[in-house]
Amino acid sequence: MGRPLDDRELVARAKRGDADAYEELVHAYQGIALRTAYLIAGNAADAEEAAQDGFLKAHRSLWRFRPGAPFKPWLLRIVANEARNRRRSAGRRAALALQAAGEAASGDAAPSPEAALLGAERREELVAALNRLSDADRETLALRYFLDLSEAETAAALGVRPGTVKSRLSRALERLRAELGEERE
Amino acid sequence: MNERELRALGAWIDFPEERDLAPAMRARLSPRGPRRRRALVLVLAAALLAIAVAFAVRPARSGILRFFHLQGATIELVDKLP
Repeated sequence: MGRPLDDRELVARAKRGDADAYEELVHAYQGIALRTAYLIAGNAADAEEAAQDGFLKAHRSLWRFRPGAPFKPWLLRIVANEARNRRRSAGRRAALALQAAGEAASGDAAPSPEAALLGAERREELVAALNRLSDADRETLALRYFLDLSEAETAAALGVRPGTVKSRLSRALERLRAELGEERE
Repeated sequence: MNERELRALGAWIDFPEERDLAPAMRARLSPRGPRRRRALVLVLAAALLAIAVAFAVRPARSGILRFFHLQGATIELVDKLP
């Protein structure tokens, strides 16, 4: 068996009509695409539709994709737009929710030491404060910290410049601290 | 509150369960593929450009309109009817 292909090779093959190569890209990015869509759409069914339609639109637009550019931010921008359109047409506000009590932190059999340190009461307090922020502030913080996207990837998903993400993050953190009634550390 | 707390909170958010999107995607992928789509777009763009150029040149425009019997009527005022 040969070495796994990197994104650049997979994109080049998918551009030539290789459906298997595109399927590998879908497998590689479906998790992050779904989570990004969920944070923006705020609803599981809409998020799944947005992720699927995003992958489909990305495939149709592959011929416009600049060779050598990173695939992930480009894809996330398309998926995030789909999610935003769904949220707008549903006319609702996205809100974050915590897992039911007793469930382990997502994806892990046991929560990471950092996640385990965050007590249930503090988690409730943080989520409630985040839900009181504007959509733009909440999305910026969630994409950057929950999904651990880089500033460039966060900027692509939000459709803004990386510099804008930096300033939005700083302001959103200030507002979140104010919601929590905390002073800047 | 610090950034580390926010990162830790991400693990407790109720994200939807990940489902394999590939089978549904595959069924919806264009059988023509992105390359054929690009060729189609280029051909259409070239055709539109050719039409635009042809209509920008008066003799060509008249020739095309004559060919399709779409020429306008010309009104001339004369002293005496033929």
